[in-house]
Amino acid sequence: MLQVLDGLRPRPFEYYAPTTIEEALKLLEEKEDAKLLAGGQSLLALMKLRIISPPTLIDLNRIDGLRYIKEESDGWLAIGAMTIYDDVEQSQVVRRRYPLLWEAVYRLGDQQIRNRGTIGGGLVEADPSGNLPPVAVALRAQLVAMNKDGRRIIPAEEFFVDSFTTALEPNEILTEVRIPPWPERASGAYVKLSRREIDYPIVEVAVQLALGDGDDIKEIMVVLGAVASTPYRATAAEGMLMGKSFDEQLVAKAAEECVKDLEPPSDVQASSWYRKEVSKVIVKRAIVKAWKRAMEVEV
Amino acid sequence: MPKALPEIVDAYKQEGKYLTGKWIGKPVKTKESYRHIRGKGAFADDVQLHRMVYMALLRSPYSHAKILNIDTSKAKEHPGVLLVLTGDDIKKIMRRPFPQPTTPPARNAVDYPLAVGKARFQGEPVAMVIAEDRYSAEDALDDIEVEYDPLPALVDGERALEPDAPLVHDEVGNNVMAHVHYKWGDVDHYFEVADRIVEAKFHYHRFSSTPLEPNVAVADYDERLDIMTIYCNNQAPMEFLPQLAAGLGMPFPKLRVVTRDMGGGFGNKLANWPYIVLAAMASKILGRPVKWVETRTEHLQSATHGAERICYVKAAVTTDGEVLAVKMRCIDDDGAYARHEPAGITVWAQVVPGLYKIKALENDYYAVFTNKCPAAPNRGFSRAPHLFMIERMMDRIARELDIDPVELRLKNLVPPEEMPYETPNGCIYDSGDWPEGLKKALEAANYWEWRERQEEYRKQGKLIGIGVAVGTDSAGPNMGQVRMYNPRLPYSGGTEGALVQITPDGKARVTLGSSPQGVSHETTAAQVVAEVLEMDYDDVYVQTGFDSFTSIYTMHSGTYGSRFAPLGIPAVYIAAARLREKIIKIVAHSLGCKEEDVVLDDGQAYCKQNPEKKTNYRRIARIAYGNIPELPPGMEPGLYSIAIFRPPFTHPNDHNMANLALTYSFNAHVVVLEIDPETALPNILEYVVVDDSGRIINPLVVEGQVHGAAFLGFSAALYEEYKYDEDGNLVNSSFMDYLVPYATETPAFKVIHMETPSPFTPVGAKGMGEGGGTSIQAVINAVEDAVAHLGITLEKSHIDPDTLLRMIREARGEEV
Amino acid sequence: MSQQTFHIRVNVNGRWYEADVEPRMLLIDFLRDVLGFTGPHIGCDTGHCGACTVILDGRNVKSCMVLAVQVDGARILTVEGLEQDGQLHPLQEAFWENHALQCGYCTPGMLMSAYFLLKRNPDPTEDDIRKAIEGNLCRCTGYVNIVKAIKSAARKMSTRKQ
Ligand SMILES: Cc1cc2nc3c(=O)[nH]c(=O)nc-3n(C[C@H](O)[C@H](O)[C@H](O)COP(=O)(O)OP(=O)(O)OC[C@H]3O[C@@H](n4cnc5c(N)ncnc54)[C@H](O)[C@@H]3O)c2cc1C
Ligand code: FES
Ligand code: FES
Repeated sequence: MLQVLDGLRPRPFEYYAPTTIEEALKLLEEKEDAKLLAGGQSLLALMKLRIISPPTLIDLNRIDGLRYIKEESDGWLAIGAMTIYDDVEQSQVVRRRYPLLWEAVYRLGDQQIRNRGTIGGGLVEADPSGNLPPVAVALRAQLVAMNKDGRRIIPAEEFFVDSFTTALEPNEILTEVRIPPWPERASGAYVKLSRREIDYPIVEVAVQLALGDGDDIKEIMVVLGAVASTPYRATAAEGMLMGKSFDEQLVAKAAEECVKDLEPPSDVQASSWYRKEVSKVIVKRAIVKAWKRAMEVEV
Repeated sequence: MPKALPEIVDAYKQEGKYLTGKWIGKPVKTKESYRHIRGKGAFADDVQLHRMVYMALLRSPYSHAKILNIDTSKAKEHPGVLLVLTGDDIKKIMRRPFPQPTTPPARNAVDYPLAVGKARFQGEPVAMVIAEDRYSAEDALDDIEVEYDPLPALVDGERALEPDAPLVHDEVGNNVMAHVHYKWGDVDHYFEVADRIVEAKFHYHRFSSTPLEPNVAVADYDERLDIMTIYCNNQAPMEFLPQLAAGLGMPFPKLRVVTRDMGGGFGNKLANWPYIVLAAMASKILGRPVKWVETRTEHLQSATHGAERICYVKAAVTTDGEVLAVKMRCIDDDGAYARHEPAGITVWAQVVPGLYKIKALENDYYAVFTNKCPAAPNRGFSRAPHLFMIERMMDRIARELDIDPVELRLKNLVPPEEMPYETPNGCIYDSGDWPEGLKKALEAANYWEWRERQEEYRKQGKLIGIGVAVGTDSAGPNMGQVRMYNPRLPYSGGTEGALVQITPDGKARVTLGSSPQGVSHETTAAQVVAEVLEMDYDDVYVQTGFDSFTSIYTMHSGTYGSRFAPLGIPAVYIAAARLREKIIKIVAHSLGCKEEDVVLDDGQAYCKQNPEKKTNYRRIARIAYGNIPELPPGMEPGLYSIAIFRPPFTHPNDHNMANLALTYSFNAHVVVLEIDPETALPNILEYVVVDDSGRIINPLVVEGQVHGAAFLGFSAALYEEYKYDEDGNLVNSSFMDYLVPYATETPAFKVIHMETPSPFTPVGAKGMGEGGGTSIQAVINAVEDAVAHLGITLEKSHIDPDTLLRMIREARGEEV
Repeated sequence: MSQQTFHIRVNVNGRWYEADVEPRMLLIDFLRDVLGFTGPHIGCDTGHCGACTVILDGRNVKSCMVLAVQVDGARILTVEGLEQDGQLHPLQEAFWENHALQCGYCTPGMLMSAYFLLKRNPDPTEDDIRKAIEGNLCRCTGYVNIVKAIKSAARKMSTRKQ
């Protein structure tokens, strides 16, 4: 038996629109089972279908100062949690420094979703097939959480605990995503495979790598999405490529290696088998693309 | 057989005396669009009435379950709730269930708009709530408690015929909705003399073209006048008026059914009447207007689906590629109720041999009940699946005989010199040069070049497929076809009505029997009226939609079966022509010349002899409505003209032979696509359609329909499929999972027009809106062509990358 | 559950409106049922069809995925506001001329997505156009004439400016 969804309007809830983060944190402490409302592009969808019905919504949209993209003096890039996808997509800095983040956002939902959905929401939602989680892990991003006692930093790799579950405590708000500077000769690529452009990926992969003096790989992160409950880091493949010079055959082998232990889920869009098979393909394509970008033979 | 007998052709022949080409054939901007581009469309959900309340439905999560108990007490207490009803309540109110179109024992099936006793498909409504606003109505559904006892589900059409299959309707005793066995021509003889028998199984999958606007009903019972007004988006209100009248115990003159703008239909809105009946009953009980708007999930899960069809096909062929005869055994999986089906078991008979000179055909055909959403028409109803079987079979035959599929088609297509052509079952294909049309399409798509390059691409590891299919949109149905499964149905012929009036201010007012869903009837009707009455298109006002209080209708009225051009337009033409004749009489009398000397020109009239002395429609209308003594003596005042077009259709005879459609448009689709060998994702490289729908009234409208039909077939083949699990759960019931394509997936369809007028309609236009489903077969042919060298064949009308990749891997001997 | 209501002020198509709304009321219901702007339509329940698309503070959004309380103080443009002083917007003209609609149900949303595109990118390629309307479903047209119309509007608008 599946749930039959008869309606398209949410159940009643209380609504608060605090104007400061402190106020929001206070409400979060006070109101039981309250949910934070960012872009609403996941949350409202679930509430409309009455799959979830939180008693209280705390809207973050009236809080100033959570929407920004800043290059900091130490080379880190800081993105406010309430920054909408479209801002990220339009950002020249992002496009130049982290092409995989740009690609992930460019290929996320549609223009309307990108005009409303936020970086923070996309990460905290922790959808196993969300575009952002693997990218955050691949870039070694850090997530800044605030609670009433202050702030703490969570590395992306530790942030995604389970499907739709993060390391955030119920009384915490994500305020910022921080992306470290990568070496001079670094680049990345994000590849998503879906049947329609707007869809969540059937499989996706984010690759970020840095080169040594030649075209040899000095650092590499290969992270898959939609194949497990959290972003899946293909360390075996990374290991095979470390220190190696550009070699498409080797990439293909690494891609094979990387899916060996995968047991992706089956759902209405694709079987586990298909996910595994095409993972190989897109991992290969993404690594080649990232590598060529780093070598500056392709954009 | 082949060429139809002259006396039959004569009986059908129509001529248009008043065609000047001033308006017909012109790409005039559509009247409807002017509303829509300004956000002023008049859709059913836009209706706002004083004191209106809202209906919401509680639906069964089980595909098959006994309903043990429904507790509505809490819901009735919910703030804002006015009424809660269950199936048992409805049973009492209605007294009798919906009449069944089927023959016994299928006729014993009991169908109420809310489930009584047991639920038979997932999403079947079991209770309804009426509340003051939409939100409260949805809230109150939470408060209804239903106890179910789940039963084994029947989800497979073939399994339905097995003796131990679960019973969908216990009252029927088996799962057969209808069974027919047709035999036309000497099938056995051809199978004996054939060089070869080619066999295949095909499966037309479950999908629906799912219009963007969901089903909507607003019922407004006026106690003072005792009139029930229904605003809805049903495509053929006259089809359900009997059900409504019976359900409410009200006579037709008290029932006003209105449609206005409709956000697409594609056949899917023909069977929404159970919901309309519910809203109407609630309105009558409460004495308040009741609105019901379906959600998308409800629509996908439980509105209607196109029937699924499985066919085992055998073709008798000669070695040089002549297709002599076909034997089929088919099963239509029509879901839980006979709400429009099993009509599909006969409707395909409009196109028995496809577009070919196939001489004989036999079909042993079942329609079955299953625990799935009830089936109803979907664009290309019943004929599209049949043409799928034929077109796919042509590719298979070509492959077995090692002939190019295009050569095989050219060899077997009905040639122009045999038009009008009579098919083995008595249908008359009216006109067309089909081989020429196919050749045009091949040329435009560079077919031969692609064929040459295909091998080259294969060597590079690329999978390129070229798919060709031809099709016809058989249009303007003879409803007598349903008597081929139930000879007692009092329903036959094919007619449509129209009213053309010159109002006292000299403008034209037109009402139609159709209920259009985005097919620009206001525009094309106005073009015809402007042409016949020699007036300005802007002075012709066509009533939006259908209104049973003002429209001229028959029981066939509506918008389905591509019937407006072959049946609706002739009614408009004839009504206008009659009015023209009356106007000419008035002018001749008032200007003092002979009728044949009267000239109508751009809303003015004069006598040939004296062009200076003019009158105009306003003055003529003044005479006709108010200045009566100036009318010719004895002439009835007023400028009304009503026409109902009646082609000489007959009942099918004892051998199930009859002409079942008035016009046959033609189309040829050529698709070139690439399959990514590593992911099996498709990419369309080229898509060309040649379309011949007879005389084109408005090229913008015709081209739009061609695009739309090509699009919906393409999307059904590659993206859209309803997937049920073994328990009868529909696992993709939202636009998140039921993959309707966006602009990013859709190719730019190229369209080439041909124009072979139909001899059987006064304007020469043919029906063409449904498009015959040709794109599905073309796309599937193309996909199969891309992988055929690996030894892969496709059975279904839908292919997804997961399945295809598996096939490719298996064919290459890899483990999957 | 408490019956919270909020008093909101919204500018729709250049005019300010005020109303009391329950927090759960969707912007689309507010526009259609409360203010009577029935141009935007509802075509789905999961945010996939785009029929409800309006311009909210300069950006196209799906009004079924925004709460009415959230737009307090905001400026909204619906399809009804495209026409200026009885003059059709070039996009409206182009949709009409190119027969970029059949049933018209998707049109109000489609126009708003096209509007946002042309504001950002006055000279879009065919791919840009297809990408820009990737959140708007049309079941009738196969998108062919929609793409054509947006292209033609872009051309017209840039020549008018020169
Ligand atoms: C049609 C459609 C297509 C889509 N396609 C894709 C796609 O291809 N790929 C993809 O990744 N996504 C897709 N999405 C989802 C989209 O990315 C969502 O915007 C995103 O998942 C959530 O972001 P949001 O800002 O809208 O968050 P909301 O929906 O407002 O919130 C999501 C969750 O995060 C919590 N939250 C939000 N912000 C914070 C914060 N700062 N601190 C703590 N908790 C917070 C909320 O409480 C909620 O639980 C699609 C959505 C739709 C409707
Ligand atoms: S109604 Fe479908 S996206 Fe808003
Ligand atoms: S015109 Fe009908 S949905 Fe687009």
